[in-house]
Amino acid sequence: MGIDSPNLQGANLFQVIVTGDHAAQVQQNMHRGEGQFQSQLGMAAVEKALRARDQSDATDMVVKSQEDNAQFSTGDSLRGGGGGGGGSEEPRSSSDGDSFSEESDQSGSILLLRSPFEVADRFRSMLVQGGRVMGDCTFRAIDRRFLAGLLDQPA
Amino acid sequence: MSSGSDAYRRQSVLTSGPSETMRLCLEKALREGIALATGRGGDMDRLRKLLSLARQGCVADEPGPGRDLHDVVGHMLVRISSPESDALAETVGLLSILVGAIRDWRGTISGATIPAWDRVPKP
Repeated sequence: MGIDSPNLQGANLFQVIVTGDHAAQVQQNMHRGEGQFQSQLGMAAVEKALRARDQSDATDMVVKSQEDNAQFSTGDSLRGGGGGGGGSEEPRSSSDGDSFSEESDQSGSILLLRSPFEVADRFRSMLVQGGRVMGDCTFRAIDRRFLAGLLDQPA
Repeated sequence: MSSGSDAYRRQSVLTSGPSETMRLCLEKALREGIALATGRGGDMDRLRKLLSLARQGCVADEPGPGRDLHDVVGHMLVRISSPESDALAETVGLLSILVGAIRDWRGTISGATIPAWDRVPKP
């Protein structure tokens, strides 16, 4: 009797074999995927544990990790370092009359002011006279974690 | 500083608004500047980072106090990066004006709840 012929129970033996083989393959793939997932989970757990240990050992880790970012490209470019490309520069109009020289092409809109104390006094008067509403149009959020790390270090 | 006040300050940094974080940032920069100018420690790199952070916290899209603060902080960044001897003194003077301005403004809108300079816990 060929395997394509019906067996005594009325089932097709070929179909049974193919279905069983397919099921075995699916199960094997599931185990393989599960194994990869388990290994990745293990690596993530180990990495998390190492990170937690590093943070407990070094309290200023947040600051050190942030230093690697290009967040402070402004000061770096002023010191001749560079990097970061100055991506956080704000758009400006060309109507400012207080500035007289640009430091470099990399520094973008960082300018030396002709009379910085006058500008600081103007800031003071505008802020105080403007009242509560001036807060939204003057200040915006900064990186709190980085600030906390800087505040932790004694002067 | 005790652990209690330290925890309070950390919590304050995490929960306060942009104006308060700016004040904390500029006051810390002022302390660093004073320490550097008087030769009692201080870290120029930390001062530079604090000023960079403060500059990022300014709304400089339109003319106004945010633009002025942005410009003055940028000016200080340029100055402290130069070898000129009076740069630190000028920076301390500018920072004291900026900190005083924010303190006055905060006192105006919130009823002067900010502790005096000499009573602020030092790290």
